[in-house]
Amino acid sequence: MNLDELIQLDETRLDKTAVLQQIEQNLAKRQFNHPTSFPTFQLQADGLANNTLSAELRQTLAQLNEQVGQLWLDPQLPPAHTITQQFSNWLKRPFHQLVVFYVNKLGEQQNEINDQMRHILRRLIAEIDRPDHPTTS
Amino acid sequence: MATIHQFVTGAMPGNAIYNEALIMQQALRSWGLRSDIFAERIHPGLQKDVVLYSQYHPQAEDVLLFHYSLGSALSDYLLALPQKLLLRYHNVTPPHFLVGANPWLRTGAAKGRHDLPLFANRTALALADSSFNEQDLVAAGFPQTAVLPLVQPDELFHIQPDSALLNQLSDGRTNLLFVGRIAPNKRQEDLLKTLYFYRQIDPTARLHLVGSEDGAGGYGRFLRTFAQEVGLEAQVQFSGHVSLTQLAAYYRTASVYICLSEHEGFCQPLVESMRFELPIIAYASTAVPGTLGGTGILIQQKHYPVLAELIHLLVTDRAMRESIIAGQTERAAAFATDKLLAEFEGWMTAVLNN
Repeated sequence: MNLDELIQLDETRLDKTAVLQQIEQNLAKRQFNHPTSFPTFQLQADGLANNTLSAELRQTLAQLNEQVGQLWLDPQLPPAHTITQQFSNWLKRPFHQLVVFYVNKLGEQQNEINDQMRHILRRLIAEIDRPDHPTTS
Repeated sequence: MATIHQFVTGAMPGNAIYNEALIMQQALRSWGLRSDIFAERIHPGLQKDVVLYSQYHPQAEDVLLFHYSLGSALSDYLLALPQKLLLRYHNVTPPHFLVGANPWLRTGAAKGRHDLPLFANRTALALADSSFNEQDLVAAGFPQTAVLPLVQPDELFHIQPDSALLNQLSDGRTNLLFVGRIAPNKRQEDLLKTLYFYRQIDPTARLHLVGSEDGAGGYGRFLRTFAQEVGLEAQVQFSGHVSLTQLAAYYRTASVYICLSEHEGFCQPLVESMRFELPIIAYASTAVPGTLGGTGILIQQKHYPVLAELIHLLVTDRAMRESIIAGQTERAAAFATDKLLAEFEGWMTAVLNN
């Protein structure tokens, strides 16, 4: 580890050499307890390795991928052609938007659940699809 | 009367993009222009200030300023309009960072990245809020680009901090602070790892993760499980969305601001930390080095024992702390609201005169 490359600071205001020496000294005397590993967040979706899945199942999965997260309502009011209709829409609009806002909040939570289910499904299928899995022939 | 209307994807209280649209709207109106804010998603508390984009009635001479951060139905709508279009580019989080988070955000991010070049020939001027963001615009083929740092209201720096929270946090313990929504690209788990090591030097230390969990999806749950597994559940506080007075209390009582994010388009909390005289340690990713401008402490790799030692130095070495703060305070002047609004006025005048 090269501390000089690792740390950048304003050398017009600070003596970088002195700061690095201090850190080196502190590190040398400190006995940090290192965990064997930290938990990791699964960032990438699992790939399907073995291509043993039927075309139909692949198609269904692709459709699911496209549809998940699509639960969303746009505010819609009837077209207003007369002054009375415009006035009616003007009165309704704030309430309508309020309802849609909270319905979409629920929708977002449902989207997240759906996404989790999709993720679990993909992991399960990837597991079954492994060449050494007992159910893979 | 000349008109510059603004369009944002989401209008939510406290959101940095909405805050910027609001302060720009006030400026545009004060210069005698007509200016409304239109959005695709509007928080109920903002219904009086923001209009649904579908209710916009296009006029031929309107100029439209689109705050671009996601692709959505709104971006398709604006792309199809013939009016003069300006793009305010806040960057789009690469979608691979959002796998496991909110699917709507992920889809919007993918669309936002994909659609950006489509705006290149439709846009009279694209204003990026950092040099890092401007590189995206240039790569996407925008013919006229410029950098205007994120414009934010000054209110946070003058407001009276929430006194109950201020007292609660001023209990002699070392407070490490990160401000930003809970999101995988912001790598809050790396802050937990840093805390794990730093508490071996200072067992009183705790970490405040200040920011909304909206859209965090499974990542927020993961962070809590992480904290439990490494025995930090009582030392990490997830504040959720906070008020301005509460945010001021967090900044006022923090010992060090630490950012290990791997994707930032500008990183406004760095500027806020500068203004609150809070020393910063940050991972040198994306727009972060540009915003710090050589001040604070930048690290090129996340080496947690070294990070813990750096925090320790900033907490215990008064001279070093003051030198870092002095540099940051000078840097903060580059982001003064009045200065940025004067630059904004120059750009808007040029657009209207062309």
